Amino acid sequence: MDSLEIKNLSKRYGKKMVLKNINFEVKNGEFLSILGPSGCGKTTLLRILIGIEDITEGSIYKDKKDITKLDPSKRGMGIVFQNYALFPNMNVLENVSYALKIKLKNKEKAKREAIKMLEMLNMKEHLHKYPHEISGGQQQRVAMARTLVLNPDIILFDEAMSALDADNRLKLRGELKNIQKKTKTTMIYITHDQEEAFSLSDRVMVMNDGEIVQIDKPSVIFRNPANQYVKNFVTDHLVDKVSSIQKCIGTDI
Amino acid sequence: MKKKFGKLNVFLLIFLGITVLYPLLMMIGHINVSDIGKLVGSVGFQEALKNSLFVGVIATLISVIVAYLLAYSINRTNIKHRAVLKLCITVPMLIPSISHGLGLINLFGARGIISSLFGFNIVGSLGIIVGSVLYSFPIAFLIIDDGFKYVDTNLYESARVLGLNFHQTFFKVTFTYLKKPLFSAVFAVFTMIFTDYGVPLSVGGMYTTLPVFLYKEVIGLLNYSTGTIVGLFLLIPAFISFMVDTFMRDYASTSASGRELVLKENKVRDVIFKIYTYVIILSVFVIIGSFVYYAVMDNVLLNPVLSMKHFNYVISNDVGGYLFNSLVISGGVAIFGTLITYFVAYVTGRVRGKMARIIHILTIITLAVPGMVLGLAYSISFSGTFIYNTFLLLIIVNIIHFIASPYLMAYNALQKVNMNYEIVAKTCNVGLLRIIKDVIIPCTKLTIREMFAYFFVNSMITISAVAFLYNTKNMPLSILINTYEGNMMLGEAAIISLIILMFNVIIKLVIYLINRREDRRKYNEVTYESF
Amino acid sequence: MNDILGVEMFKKMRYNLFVNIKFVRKGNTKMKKILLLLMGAFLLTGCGSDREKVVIYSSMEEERNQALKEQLEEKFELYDVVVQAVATGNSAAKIKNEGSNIEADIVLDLETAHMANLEDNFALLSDFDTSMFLDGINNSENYFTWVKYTMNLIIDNKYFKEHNLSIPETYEDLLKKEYKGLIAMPDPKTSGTGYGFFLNAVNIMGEDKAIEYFNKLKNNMREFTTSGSGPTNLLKQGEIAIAMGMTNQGVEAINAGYDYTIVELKTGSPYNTTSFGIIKGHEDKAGVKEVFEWILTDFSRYDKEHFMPDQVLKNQKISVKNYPLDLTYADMMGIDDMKVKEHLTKMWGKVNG
Repeated sequence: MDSLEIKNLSKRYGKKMVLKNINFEVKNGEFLSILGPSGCGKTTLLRILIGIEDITEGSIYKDKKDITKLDPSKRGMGIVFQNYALFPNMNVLENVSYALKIKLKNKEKAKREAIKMLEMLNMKEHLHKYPHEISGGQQQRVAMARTLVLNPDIILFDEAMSALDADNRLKLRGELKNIQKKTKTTMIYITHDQEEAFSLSDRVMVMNDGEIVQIDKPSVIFRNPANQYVKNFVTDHLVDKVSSIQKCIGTDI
Repeated sequence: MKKKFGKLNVFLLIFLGITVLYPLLMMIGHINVSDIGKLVGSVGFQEALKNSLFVGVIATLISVIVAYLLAYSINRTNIKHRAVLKLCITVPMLIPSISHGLGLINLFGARGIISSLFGFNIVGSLGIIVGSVLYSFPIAFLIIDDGFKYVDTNLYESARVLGLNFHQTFFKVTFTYLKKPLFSAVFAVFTMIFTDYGVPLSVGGMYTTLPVFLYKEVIGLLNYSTGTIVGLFLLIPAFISFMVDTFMRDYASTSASGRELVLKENKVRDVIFKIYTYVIILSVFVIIGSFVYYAVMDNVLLNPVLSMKHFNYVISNDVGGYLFNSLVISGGVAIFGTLITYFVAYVTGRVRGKMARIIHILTIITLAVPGMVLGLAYSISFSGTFIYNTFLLLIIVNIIHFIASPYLMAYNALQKVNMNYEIVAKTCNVGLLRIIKDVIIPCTKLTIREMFAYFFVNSMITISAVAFLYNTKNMPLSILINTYEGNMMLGEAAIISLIILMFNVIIKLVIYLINRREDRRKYNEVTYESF
Repeated sequence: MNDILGVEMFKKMRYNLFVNIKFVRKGNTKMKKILLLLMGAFLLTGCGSDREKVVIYSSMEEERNQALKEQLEEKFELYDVVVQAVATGNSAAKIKNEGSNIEADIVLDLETAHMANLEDNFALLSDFDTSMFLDGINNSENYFTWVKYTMNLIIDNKYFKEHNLSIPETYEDLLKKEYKGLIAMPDPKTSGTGYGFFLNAVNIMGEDKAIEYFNKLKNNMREFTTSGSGPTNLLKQGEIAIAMGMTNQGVEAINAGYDYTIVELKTGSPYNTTSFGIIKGHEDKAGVKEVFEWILTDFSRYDKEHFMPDQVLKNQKISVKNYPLDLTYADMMGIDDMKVKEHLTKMWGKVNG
C-alpha cells in the first residue's frame, strides 16, 4: 500500500454528529495512534475504516482508489480487538492458520506460515494450547499473529492492550514495535492512553468530540500543543506523570 | 452484515408469518364481536378466570421455590452424583402430563392409596396445584440451574471479606445474577400452568379453569369464536412476560469469571439439602410409578395379579407403527426445529435490526398459545393444502408449539459468545456461514444439544397440538394414550407412556454421554467469556 | 402399515435417524443433501399402501371398534379398511374444518346433534335400502341413526353397602347429603349423555327449576366430565359411587366383574342417538359404498345384538348378558331439535361455565 486518505468524513447517529469532517492521511509503514477519551469518536472511526459502519458523508481512498463502499474483506485490513476474540474451540496454531487455510485452500502451507509467524512472536512452545490456557499477553500475540499471517496492508488495533497489566503492556509494546519494524506493516492504533500512544507512534492523532484536534509527531505535540485541550490532555498529563514518579523515588531522572 | 441478512430476515419473517401469524389470524377471524361481551359477562367465564389465576399464581410460586432449592442443592452444596440427580429431576418432563394426573388420582384421589390413609383427597384446586407443580418444576429448575452458571463467583469472596451475612449476600450477589433467570422461570411456569388443560381435567373435579372452559367450548360446541376469545386471554401472560423480559437487564452476560466456586464445608447444610432433593425425586417417582403399576397388573381393583395382557394388547395393535411415526416426527422436529430456531436466534441476537424485533415477538408469542388452539388453527388454515395430512405438517406444528424455550436458550447463549468473531471473519475474508459453522456453533454446542433434546422430548409426549392434525398414516404414539385412557384401559395407557419415557431417556442419556466425553477436553462455554 | 410388530422397521429407522443426526452435525454436505431429499419426499407423502384404502372415523368404544376391525379384515381383503378411533368432539371438529378434504370416508357413531349441524358435509344416502330401520327413526337423507342409547345411574354396590347408603329413586333423591362428592355426570356441553340427562330434567321440571336443580346438585357432584364415559371411568377407578352414565357401559362393567347395579329413576331412562354417514364427495371412491352397505346391513345388527340393544331396527336380537330389559324411556321431547339443544347448552352456562 502507498497511502490511506480520509476525506471530509462525517458520521451522524440520529441527531448527534459523532464524527465531524475528518481529514487525514496515513503513510505507508507508519505507526499512527488515534488518541482520545471515551466518546470522542475513535471507535466509530475504526469501525468505518474497517467497513462495518456506514459513512454519512465523505470518502476513504486507498492507493488513490475509493474504498468507501468496499466490503471489509476486500480492504486488506486486519483488526486486533481488546478482548482478542480468539476462537476458543481451536488451539493457538489452528487460530492463526484458520483464515489462511481458507484463503490458500492449502492446509499444510497455512500451517507452515502460521508456525513461522508464531515463532517470530515467541509462541513456538504454545502451538497446541488453547486460548484459555495461555496468558493475556500470549493471547495478544496470537491475535496479532492471526492478522499478520494474512499480510494485510493495514492493521488496526482497538484498545488492544487496555486489558493487560502494566508489566505485560511494556513488554508487548516493545514486541509490537519490533514486529512493525520487521514486517513494515502500516498500523493504526486506537487508544485512550497517552503514554502508550506516545511511546509507540510515528505520529499521533489527537481527537476530541468527533474532531481531529492535532495530528503530528509525538515530540511536536508535546512541546507545541495546538490548544488548551491538547495541553491538558497530553502535555500536562505526561508531565504530571513524570513528576509523580520522581516524587516516589526521590531523584531527578 | 445487516444487508446480507436482509434475505434471511425476510425468509424467517415469511416463515413465521405463515406458521404463527396466519393461523392465529384465521382463528381471530372466527370471532363474533358480540360474543366477547357475552363471554366476559358470563359467570362461568369469570369463575374460570378467577380459578386459573388463583391456582396459576400459587402453583407457580411453589414450583419456582421448589426448583430454586433444588438448583441451590445441585450448585451450592457438596451433593454427589449431580448429573444423575439432574436427569432424575427432569423425568416428569419426559412423559405426557396425563400420566401425572392419573398417578395423582391413584395416590391422592377420593379412593387414593395415600388419601385413604390420611382421610383427605386433593381433587379440586389442591390437585391442580400439586399436578401443575409436578410437571413444571423441572423446567423452572433447568432455567435457574443454568442461571447459576453465570453468577460471578468472585463476588462471593468479596462479600465474605466485607463481612456480609447470608441474607445480605443472597440479595446483593446471588439475586442480582439470578434475577433474570428467576423471572424467566416464573413467567415460563405461569404461562405453562395457565394454558394447560391436562392436569385440571384429570384432578380438577368441579374446579374449572380457563383452558378447560376453552376445551369444552371448542370440542363440545365447536364454538370457535368463544374458544378463540378465551385463547386470547391466555396470551396475556406471554405479553407481560415479553415486556418484563425485554426491560430486565441481564447482568450475567457482562461478566462471568468461570472459575469454579470452592464450596465451604457445611455438613448440616449438605444433609438438609440432600434429604430435600431425594425426597422430591422420590415423590416424583412414586407418583409416576403408581401409574406404571397399571401396566403389569391385570386389573388394579378387580384382579390385582401380574399379567402381560396389556403388553400383548398393545403389541397386537400395531404399536410399532405408531412408535415409528412418533420417532419420525420427533426426529424431524428435533433436527429442523433446532436448525430453524438457531438461525432465528442468530438473526435476532447477533444481527439485530428492526425486523429482528418482530421476529423475536412472533417467536415468543408461541409460548402462550395452547397446543389445542394451535392445532385447531392449523386445521382450519391449512386444510386442503398440499402440506395437510403429511408428516411435515405435524413436524411444523410441533416446532412452532415448542419453539419459544429453545429459542430463548439459543438467544441467550448466542449473546454470550464474543460479538467480534463475525468482524474478524469479515476482515479475514471468511464467509459468514463458515465462521458460524467453525466457531459460533462449536461455542454453543451444549445449548444446541439441549435444544435438540427439548424438541425431541416434547414432541414425543405432546397430544394437544396434533390431536386435530394427524391422520391414519402418521398418527403418533401419544394419541393412543388418550384413546386408551378414555376407555379406562389404564394398563395400555401406562405402557405407551413407558415406551415414550424410554426413548426420551435414551436421547437424554446419549446427549449426556456426548457431553461428558467432551468434558475431558476441558473447555467449557462459560470461560469463552474472557475472550 | 402391514408390519404387525414394526419392531424391525423402527429399529432400522432409529439407527438411520441417529446416523442422520451425526451426518448433519459433521456437516458432510453431499450426504446431507441426499438425505434431505429423501426425507423431504418421505415426509410429504408418508407411508403408502398397496391396496385401496377406506377410512372410517369411529367414536365407538375400543371393544366395539375391535369387533369392527376383526370383521372388516375377514370380509374385505381387497381393501385396506382402516378404523380410526376419534372422540366425538374431535371428529366433529375435523369434519367442520376440513369438509370433503377430510381423510375419513365413513363417519360412524357420531352424536346425532353434531351430525345434524354438519349435515351439508355428508353425502346423500338415497341409494341405500333403509327398510330395516324402525319407522321414523331417521330424520335425514344424509345420515342414518346408528345407535340409540339410554343412560342411567350405575351404582357401586360395595360402597353403598359399606356406607349404608339408600338407593336413589328420583332426581330429588340425588340431592341428599349422603351422596356428597360421590356423583359424576357428563357435561351437557360436550357429551350427548350429559345432554340427555339435562334435557330430561328440563322436560320434567321446566327450564328454570332444572337449572336450579343442577346448581344444587353441584354440591354432590365430583365432576362434570368432558366425555360420556367419564363417570363410568371414575366409578371403575373407585373415585365415585354413582355414575350418571351410559347403560351399555354399566352393563359392560358388570360383565367384566365389577359389582355394580344399574338403577333406573322413577322418571325413566333418558336416551340419545348417534348416527353414521358417508362424507360428501367420497361416495364414489373405490370400496366406500361397499363397506358402508356392509356396515348398514351386517355390522349394524351385530353391534346392536352384542352391545347396544335399544331398538333402532325392526327385528333386533339381544344377546348382551345382564342387559336390563325392563327399562322405560323417559320424556326426551326435543332430543332431535337442534334449536332446543343450542338454547339449552347456552343455558347450562348458568350452572357450570
